[in-house]
Amino acid sequence: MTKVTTLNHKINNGGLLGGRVKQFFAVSPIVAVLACILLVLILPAVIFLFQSSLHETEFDGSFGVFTFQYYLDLVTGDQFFNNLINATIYAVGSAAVAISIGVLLAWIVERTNTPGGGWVLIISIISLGIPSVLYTISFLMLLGKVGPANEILMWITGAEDPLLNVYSLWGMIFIEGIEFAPLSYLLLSSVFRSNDASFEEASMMSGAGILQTFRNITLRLAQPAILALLILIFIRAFESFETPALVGLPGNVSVITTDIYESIDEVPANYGQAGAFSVVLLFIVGALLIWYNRLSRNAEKFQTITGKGFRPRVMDLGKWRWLTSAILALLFMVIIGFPIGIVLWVSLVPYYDGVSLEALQLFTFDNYRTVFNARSFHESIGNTVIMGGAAASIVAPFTALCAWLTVRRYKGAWILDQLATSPLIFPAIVMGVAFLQVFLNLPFGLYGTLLSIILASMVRYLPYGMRYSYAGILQIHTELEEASSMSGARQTTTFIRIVMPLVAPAMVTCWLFVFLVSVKAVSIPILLAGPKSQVVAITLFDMWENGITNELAAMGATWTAFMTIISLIFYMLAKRYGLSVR
Amino acid sequence: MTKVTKYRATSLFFGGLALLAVASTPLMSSAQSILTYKGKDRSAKLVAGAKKEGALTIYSALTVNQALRPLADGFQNKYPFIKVNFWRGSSRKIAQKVLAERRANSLVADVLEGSGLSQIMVKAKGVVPFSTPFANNIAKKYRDQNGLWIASRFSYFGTAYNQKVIPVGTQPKTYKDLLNPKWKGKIAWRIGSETGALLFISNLRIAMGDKAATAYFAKLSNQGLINFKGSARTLVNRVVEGEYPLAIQIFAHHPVISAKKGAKIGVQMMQPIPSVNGTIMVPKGVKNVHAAMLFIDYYLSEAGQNVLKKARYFPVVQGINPRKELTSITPRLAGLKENYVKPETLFKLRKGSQKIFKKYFKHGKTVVVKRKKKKKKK
Amino acid sequence: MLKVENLFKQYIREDGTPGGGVLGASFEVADGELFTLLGPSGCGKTTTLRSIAGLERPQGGNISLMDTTLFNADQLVNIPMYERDIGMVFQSYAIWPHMNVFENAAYPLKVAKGKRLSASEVRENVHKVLELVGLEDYIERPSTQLSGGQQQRLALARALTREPGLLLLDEPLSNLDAQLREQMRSELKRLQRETGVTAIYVTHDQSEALAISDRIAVMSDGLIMQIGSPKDIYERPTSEFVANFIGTTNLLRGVLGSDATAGSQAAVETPLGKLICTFTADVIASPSIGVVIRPENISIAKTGDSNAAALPEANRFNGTLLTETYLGEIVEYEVGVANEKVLIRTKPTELLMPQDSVTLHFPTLQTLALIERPN
Repeated sequence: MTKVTTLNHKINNGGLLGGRVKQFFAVSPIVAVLACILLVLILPAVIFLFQSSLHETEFDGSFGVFTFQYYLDLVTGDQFFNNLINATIYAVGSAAVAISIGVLLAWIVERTNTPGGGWVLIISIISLGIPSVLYTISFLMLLGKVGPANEILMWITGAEDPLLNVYSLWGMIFIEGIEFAPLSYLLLSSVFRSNDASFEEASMMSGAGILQTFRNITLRLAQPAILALLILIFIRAFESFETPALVGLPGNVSVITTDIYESIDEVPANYGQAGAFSVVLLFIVGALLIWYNRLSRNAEKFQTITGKGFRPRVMDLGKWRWLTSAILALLFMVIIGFPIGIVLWVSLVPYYDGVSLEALQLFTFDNYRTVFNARSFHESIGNTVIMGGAAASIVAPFTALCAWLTVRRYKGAWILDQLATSPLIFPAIVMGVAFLQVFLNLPFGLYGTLLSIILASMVRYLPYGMRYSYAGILQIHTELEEASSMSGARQTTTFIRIVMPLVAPAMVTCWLFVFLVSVKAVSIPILLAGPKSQVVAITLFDMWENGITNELAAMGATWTAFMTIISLIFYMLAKRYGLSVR
Repeated sequence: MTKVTKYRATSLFFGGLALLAVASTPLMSSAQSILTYKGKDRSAKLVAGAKKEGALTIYSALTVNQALRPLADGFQNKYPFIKVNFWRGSSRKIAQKVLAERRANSLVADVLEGSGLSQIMVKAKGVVPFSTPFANNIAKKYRDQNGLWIASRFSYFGTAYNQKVIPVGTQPKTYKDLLNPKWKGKIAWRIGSETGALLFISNLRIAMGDKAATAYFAKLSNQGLINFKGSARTLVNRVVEGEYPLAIQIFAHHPVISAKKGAKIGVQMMQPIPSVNGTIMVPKGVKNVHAAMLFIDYYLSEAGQNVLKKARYFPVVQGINPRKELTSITPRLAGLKENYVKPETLFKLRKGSQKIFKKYFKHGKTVVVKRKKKKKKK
Repeated sequence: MLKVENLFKQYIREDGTPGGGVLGASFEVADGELFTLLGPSGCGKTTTLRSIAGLERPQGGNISLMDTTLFNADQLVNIPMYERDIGMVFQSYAIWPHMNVFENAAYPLKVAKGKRLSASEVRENVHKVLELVGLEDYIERPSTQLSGGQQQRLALARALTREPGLLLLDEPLSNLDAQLREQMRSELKRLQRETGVTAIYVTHDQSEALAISDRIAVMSDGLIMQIGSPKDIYERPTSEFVANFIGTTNLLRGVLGSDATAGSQAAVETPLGKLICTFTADVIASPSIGVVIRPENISIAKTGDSNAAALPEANRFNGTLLTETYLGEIVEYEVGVANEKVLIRTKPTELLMPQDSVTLHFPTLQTLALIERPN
């Protein structure tokens, strides 16, 4: 054999800027550009967050001398640890409630022949559309002192005073647990769906009954997935803000996220304390997420899809399926029916005094009229649509490009993947605090503008965008692009004529998803919104704080209807193109 | 999940930022001197300047439908070339927003109005001195000596009582009466507000002197006061509903308004009646300074004060009295002893009063409610 | 004509150990020839093909098509794939789902550098090529509605639209079912003949390779074992590997006393006894040389029969018929000779039954003594 000359391995084939240019970069130039953009978006927020926690907050909000005082206070005082315990109990409880409901729902729908299983999908669709503020408030109306739950209980037990106090830890746990039930159901249903039936059949052939098989086989096999899901919901509840703020604070129950908010809500704002709490929360959540990643990787090993011989089994429950059907109906009502019902009720009465037959006579559309005529209502809706639309319109194509570079293994593209996924470790309220500091400290005049909310939301939803874009790009076989190159098209032409049309469905789905989740959020706008940049979630929040309940219900109901339609479109598209919906 | 830092990119970024920072420093209005201008042509100058500015943004804690909007509309009618934007928030939120806007160098507000606002803004050096001939109709004590604020409205506080369970005539009439054991467990007051429990305590500290006041509070703490965390209006509603027979340190006009609608509720003014004032101020770095001054002038003019009067607020200009139904609770008109607590004083006494509250009243039964309002009211 | 010299590309696994690749392949393909790269998976045939296409960048060697150097490691020449005059049919066909048949086939004409054809010229060319593959009736059809075979033909049409100097086919038939595969096989051959395009074909299916190729290069572990016509490869393998890989063969281990040259004949000691073998390549003396003889070349007759007596003396052995497998057109016999089992294929005859004593003859010209692999 003649001597072989070895060339530089690091150079990729083709590339958007031609082979010669790329010889000088260890990283592909387009990757470098995108990485810089990501860093510019993410890094200042991180830096300012840390800075704010390490400098004394002056009266006018500026940074004073360097100090560890805020961290020391955190460690030496009671407040942090008490609220940490509260947060932990709250998160564990919520996860337990959510998983229990999720397991029940998923098993009934996926593995039994219970009629009416299709309705469960409606739960998921509506819960993606309903603003979390409104959802929480609806439960406060249901379970409050004058609410129907207390009325029924008092009627049953003959008590004089309301028995339930929803403004408590248990109230928080219950409400958040139900709020996470749809997500829990979605994730578990895919686990249950993919289990090979022969395991359960073997169990029943050995003599075990339905419940025994469920307990010993189905549940056991799903255990790693359930455990991973438990951690995930724990993390989400731990870092959540809406429920603790609306349910916990009035009952004097504080958690870390509400502490952060209250620090900023002080006059003058205690940025230092907020920053310290945020940083610590960041690290806690980060550690939990790493643990979760490890667990969910193991969970995948238990998936038992077995190629050609695979068919999921639906168990015949016989006459028991009427019981499970009733359970299904009850859960449906609890998760969707009652909340929507109470919102509609409150929106149609002039004042809320509980649910009663007399109140029926007071039904009026006045609240809707007031809300539709209010200029602030129009502004709020307009702002929200612009915010969600802008964030989605940037995230979708940007992550599509990043995902493509990553999947096609451009040099250094893994950095893009990491960077775009990194915002996941930021609890929403922490991201709000971080960006608040960015906008306060940088002289671009962005504070209080809609653009500031758009920027922060963009960063927050990058990971979600990546997930959809990644899945979409994966569906495009490399050979489709190679065939284009072999037909004589340069990289850019291939990208425009082949990749983009094929990734378009995933991008649209991604756009809709980012739009839907960004308009639901409260934690980011609540710190960044100014008088001119009110969005629906904040308007609803403020209305609740000011006791303008009936108009809140009218606005909320209208908005939810609007969003549910968009959510429905999203679900239809996702199903059509085989993309997951979480 | 790892954070990757590219130092090169970061330093480039910050370098570019520095350039931009220099380039985008907001231009200061060269006519800031108009704030304290006293010349004969003041009005003409203001109108000319406001014409160029063409816009005004007001942050206020006044109610929107009754007060803020009519004021804005009236002002805009008078000066059609000024587009008025207003935002209603609690005094607390106003302070937060303005401080943050200043910090971010993106000040939007031109005029600030609210109660409990002034001391924070003064301490944060967030407001500038201004003067207007319209303030001549306001007693000197209701104006800041450094010209940083002028009173915008008054508030008077009293005790609300449910007339169904406490027949008229049997209600406590003095602070001392409150110590009567028969009121034990029947008194509620607001916490979490500058004008609630803290003001009650500060008022008596001024009136009796710290020593006597502390003795009083020690006795009062045996009465098991209920700490109510919610709006003043909601507390009064509770009294109307009969949940609490007595509520002290409430805005005196609330029960008057409810009674006019037929509710069985009365108000007992206890002397000295604590009173505070809201303030109107101009933020530092104001953009539309001429329009802002024109608005303050309008606010303090007869037209503006009458809007306040109609909205059942207490006007600050001498000669304009509040509505007739409020006469009985206006100290100077009802011949009652008033203890006007200046904003600085309130701020100074705050810490001490907080300590007293913590010591004697924090352990009380706390009732927290998310307000379910039937009507919007301050 | 295509010329490939010393093509080298080695993959490195994640843990740093060397993976597969092509480790030094050289061959030439004449104009109009259908040249097949044949071998088991991992042998380097696909890497070679993709290197010629420009989809992979080799580390060493050079590739030239007609007068153009496509790749030269020493001179740092590497023409990008979209500038090579090559059409390619992918294993998965890679038909774009968002375009219809016409658009798929017209794509190369629309994107290629150089002079642009007018719309009518494009239409004309596309019609021509679709007619060639028999898809002209489907011209408006969305490509997602095509069957597997139709997609394959469309892929071929698209590759031929620009009338390239070289056509590459990467296991184009492996995704089709057996019946369709045979049909398409002859279609492909016919089309290649008709258009006269030079083609390189990659497959692991040796019967496919034998059926359509003008010449075959058998590859294993990154190297070319043998290049030759199907007849050469089948009848004159130069290594055990090739003999085993193509068709079925008997393999005996023998001892070669002294060196032998290609084309000569010599005796090799085998467990059966002394076998006169033909040498297809130069071979040095070896204590373990492979002796191969294909089952269909062995004559068999009942011992004592007149047929048996007619068999030549040399390379004649007696044994016992162990099993008989009737396969319809042929019958397979397994015969035990001196502890070895020999497989024979022949036309069915009533005369032989298991346990019979049989006589076998190994024709010297088809009894080959081979090294295991070429060095």
